[in-house]
Amino acid sequence: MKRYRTDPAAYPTIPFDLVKEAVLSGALIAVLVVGAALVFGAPYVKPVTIQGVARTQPVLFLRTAARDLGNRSAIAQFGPPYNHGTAGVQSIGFLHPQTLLGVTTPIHPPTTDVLAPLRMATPLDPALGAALQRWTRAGARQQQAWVTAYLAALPRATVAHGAVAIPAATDGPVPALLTALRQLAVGGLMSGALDRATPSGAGAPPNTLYRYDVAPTLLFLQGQALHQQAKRYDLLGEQWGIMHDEQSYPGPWWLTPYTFLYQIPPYSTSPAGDMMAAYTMLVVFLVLIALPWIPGLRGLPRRLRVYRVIWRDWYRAVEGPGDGSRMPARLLRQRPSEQEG
Amino acid sequence: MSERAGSGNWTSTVRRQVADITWDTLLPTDQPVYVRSVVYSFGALTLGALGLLIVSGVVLAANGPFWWQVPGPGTFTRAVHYWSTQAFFFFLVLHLVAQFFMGSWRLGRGRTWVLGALSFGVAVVTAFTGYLSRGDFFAQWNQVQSKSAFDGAGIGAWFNVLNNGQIYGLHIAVLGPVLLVLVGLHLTWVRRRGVVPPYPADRGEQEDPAS
Repeated sequence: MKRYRTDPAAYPTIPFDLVKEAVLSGALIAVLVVGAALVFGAPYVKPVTIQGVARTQPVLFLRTAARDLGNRSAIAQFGPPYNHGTAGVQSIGFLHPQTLLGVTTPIHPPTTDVLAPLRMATPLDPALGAALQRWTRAGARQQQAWVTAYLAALPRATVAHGAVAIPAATDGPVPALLTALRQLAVGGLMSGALDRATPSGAGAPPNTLYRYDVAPTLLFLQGQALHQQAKRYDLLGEQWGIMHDEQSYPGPWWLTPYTFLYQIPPYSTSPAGDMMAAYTMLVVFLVLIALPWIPGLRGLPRRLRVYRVIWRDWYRAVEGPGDGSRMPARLLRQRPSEQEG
Repeated sequence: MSERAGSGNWTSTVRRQVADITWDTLLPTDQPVYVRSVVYSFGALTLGALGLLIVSGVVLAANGPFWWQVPGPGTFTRAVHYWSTQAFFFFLVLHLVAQFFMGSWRLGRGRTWVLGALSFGVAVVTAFTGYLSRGDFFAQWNQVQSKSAFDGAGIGAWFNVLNNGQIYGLHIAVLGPVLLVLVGLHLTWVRRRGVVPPYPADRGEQEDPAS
């Protein structure tokens, strides 16, 4: 009976050409990938722009802007890293790592999304100055009353030839401000104004030339404007979101375990679902790394015996009649030093 | 300085381990006879896809983000990058699953397994930053969707998925190179230790109790 050998060098060998294998593997992959790229291309759906929303969905644009002006948008009370709110802060017990690093991307929707862009537009429309002055001089309660009245009148607005007619309401300077903001957006200037380099922007240093951080633009769009498009492409969280791509292309399917968590309680129901999913995946990953040392798990392959399919030629040879008679003898190169009992 | 005098010193350890690696280790001319299964191709095919990812990625980076968003050679190169990613993960997952069923960490190969698992984890994050850099609706949507996950986990203040410059920089200059280093170390350890032998046979082999 042969002794089980733990050193690969103690086994008989077969010739092996690593260069040949690398060339063949590379060629096969190249043919498959370039062929797929030629035949199928790659997914691409135009991004949603503020200009597009302002042009084609003016009422949605105005509602979004009004909620920002009244500091009522989702990001207004979200919390770190955007502001000191608490609505979006996720906690498990006393753990809330979201607050550890504080506010690094300061977003104050009334200023960031509405007032600052309008101040930048004032040289183009000097009449705006009066409306801005009326808004800033009013007290907080008055401002909120104006926004409430405006939002109440907005569902009865009519759109004709790109112009929005809103029923009269006690909404102070809000219609003038938001109509001007929409004109800025229709002209394609608003995202530039949002992602501008000012201390109240997205953490950019003053006077920087660069526009890498598009947080204000994306956060302005993140509500209904993006959700309705995402739903059209089955990209919402409850539709297994990120796992599949837009259009009929395979998405990042390797995120299936992560996406699966969002379909089941408590991940799907807890306000801290994101945090729980992230740390669950971290634990799963640590288990994968430490698998060779985890009792029970490390012995699983031996109990499952799938290895007998993978190494079936070897086991046939070792367990069959004679010694290695069913191995491909022409390939074998017995090591002189090998000893078999 | 003698070997003994240098033992316990990390530079000596690195020197000894590097000295163990020979051309014959890296480019073997034979393999143990049990290396006869299609599953041994999965790793090589994963590497092939990684090679295509690097080549197409370098071409994309050299031409800039607008180039790959308009029809023409940029879109085609992006398609090659996209399908290389799909192929990479397809063969990587097959490789990982096969190595699990083969218990490839046995007989002193724990480090090889750890390096492979780390490569897998880094590859997932690298691919994610690539998806966020596409510049289309999918990227835009997943930027705003994933921010809550990173914020909730406590790293959103630094890992700002809404900052295209940071995410693209991480993709091509941090995560990609880290992945290459990990894969390189993984391969080196595969070659140093050799391919793991099969589990002992049910009959015909006497198992060494120490194994």
